Amino acid sequence: MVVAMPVVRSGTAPAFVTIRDVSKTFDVDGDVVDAVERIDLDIAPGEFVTLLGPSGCGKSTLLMMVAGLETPSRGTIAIGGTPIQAPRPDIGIMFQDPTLLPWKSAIDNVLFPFQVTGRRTRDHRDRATGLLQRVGLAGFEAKRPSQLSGGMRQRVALCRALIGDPDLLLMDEPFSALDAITRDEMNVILMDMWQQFRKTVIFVTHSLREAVFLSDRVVVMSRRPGRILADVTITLPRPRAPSIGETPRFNEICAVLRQKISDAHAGAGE
Amino acid sequence: MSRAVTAVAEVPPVSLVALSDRHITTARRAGLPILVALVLFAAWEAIVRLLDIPRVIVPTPVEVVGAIVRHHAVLLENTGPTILTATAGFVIATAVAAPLAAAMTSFRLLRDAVYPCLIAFQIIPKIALAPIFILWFGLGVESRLAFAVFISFFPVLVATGTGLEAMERSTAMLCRSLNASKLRILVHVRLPTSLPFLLSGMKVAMTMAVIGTVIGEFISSKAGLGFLILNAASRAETDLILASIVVLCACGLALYGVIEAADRMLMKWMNG
Repeated sequence: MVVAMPVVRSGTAPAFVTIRDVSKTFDVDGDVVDAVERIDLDIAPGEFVTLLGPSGCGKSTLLMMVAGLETPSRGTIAIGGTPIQAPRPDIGIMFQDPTLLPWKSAIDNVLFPFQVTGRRTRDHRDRATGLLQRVGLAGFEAKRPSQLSGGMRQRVALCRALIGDPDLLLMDEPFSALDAITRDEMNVILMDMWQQFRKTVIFVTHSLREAVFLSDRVVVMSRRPGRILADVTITLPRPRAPSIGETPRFNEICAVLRQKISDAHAGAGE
Repeated sequence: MSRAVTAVAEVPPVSLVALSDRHITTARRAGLPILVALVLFAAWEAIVRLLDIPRVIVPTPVEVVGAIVRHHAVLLENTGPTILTATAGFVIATAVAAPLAAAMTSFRLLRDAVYPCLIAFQIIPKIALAPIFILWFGLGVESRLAFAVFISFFPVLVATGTGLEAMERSTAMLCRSLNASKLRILVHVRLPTSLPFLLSGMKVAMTMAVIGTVIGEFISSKAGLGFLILNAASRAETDLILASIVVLCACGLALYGVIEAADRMLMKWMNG
């Protein structure tokens, strides 16, 4: 059962992901580049949070630091109270590219996380089949990535990210390479999956409407070095149908968000 | 899912125009080179006849075909050793170079230590080393085999090495996020990714192995097409030289064709 209720963000619920004073600088050919600067963010368990910002604002870098694939230059990131030192098995990741292995069938790609870590895939076949069914790929289990459309490939990648039953799902612009129609479809599928599994999700995008449609909270980031400009709770009821995008309420929220972005940029002298 | 089914149904039927277009393309691709070859052979035949060039200098294509028919027994007899040596050399080279490439990818230290040396070694004009192989391995088949291995080794090594490094960045990140071990990444991702590269290296290696074998036969041999060419040259039987070269081309093409076929099967299997 799904309760259509916005997640209450107060000091009472302990945060699942805590990002404290995190900065990241890269050394690019001797030049120091500030990717993100002094980020503080708390994310509650089961919350869907979107990092919204222009390309190259460091939102992906922040995501990779949460994944343990990059190390912060300063500050700490903790998941479930444990500071991140290295990648953790209880995190699922999706990239912009589906990163499927072309010689593997859809189901074997979903099971890849087990195979590449030396665990038996046989025990998880039913779960993989179930996930594929859930995203509308029943009957496509044996198909190779080359036989699937772009949206279908990303659906397989979503199943792969979920196969290990992660507590945290990190999504790095997963639908930005898809056409607008497929993208809307993917958003609906993702919502459907999220309503069912209720994982904590950190989603990165540069699409304002996508952010509003999906999220409990939208965190707006500035241009490089990425800082948090605004942190807006989206109070739209759930479950959300695609038609919600035409409601005045939805467009109102988009307008407010857009205003906050331009205000912040004006305030920062941009 | 139903959407996918409709999508298939919506694909317009292949029109007859498109079909005949494709046939024309195929005919053109195969036909044009053959036509050019035939024109060249006809010109060759005509020039030699018109200018009355001595047959010892340049026999005509028709005479070369005649020589193949006349000498078919001796040609066949000498084809065996060449094919055998070349194939064995190619197999050994692949069997050593591919695992060495995998080892070098896995162990940075080995790679940093060995790879520059191998590249430096690769720069040596290998034909210049052929006489040394005779010194080391004697006049028998061993020296010819060793030379075939030596000359076909590097294409496989370099191609496989490149293929093993060809894993996509996002795939590498995915594996890292899963805490997969280096060995498992090698087995499940790097090796399959490298297979097309390995196959293209093998195609070059097969051709090189034939060249290496013939060079070996030039230097020391009592059989093989290389030997036959040298032997015919000493008796000024130019038509037999060219006949041997035609057979050599056919052998090289056939061996190459085997690898090409394997490559196509592999690509079909890998990409579905």
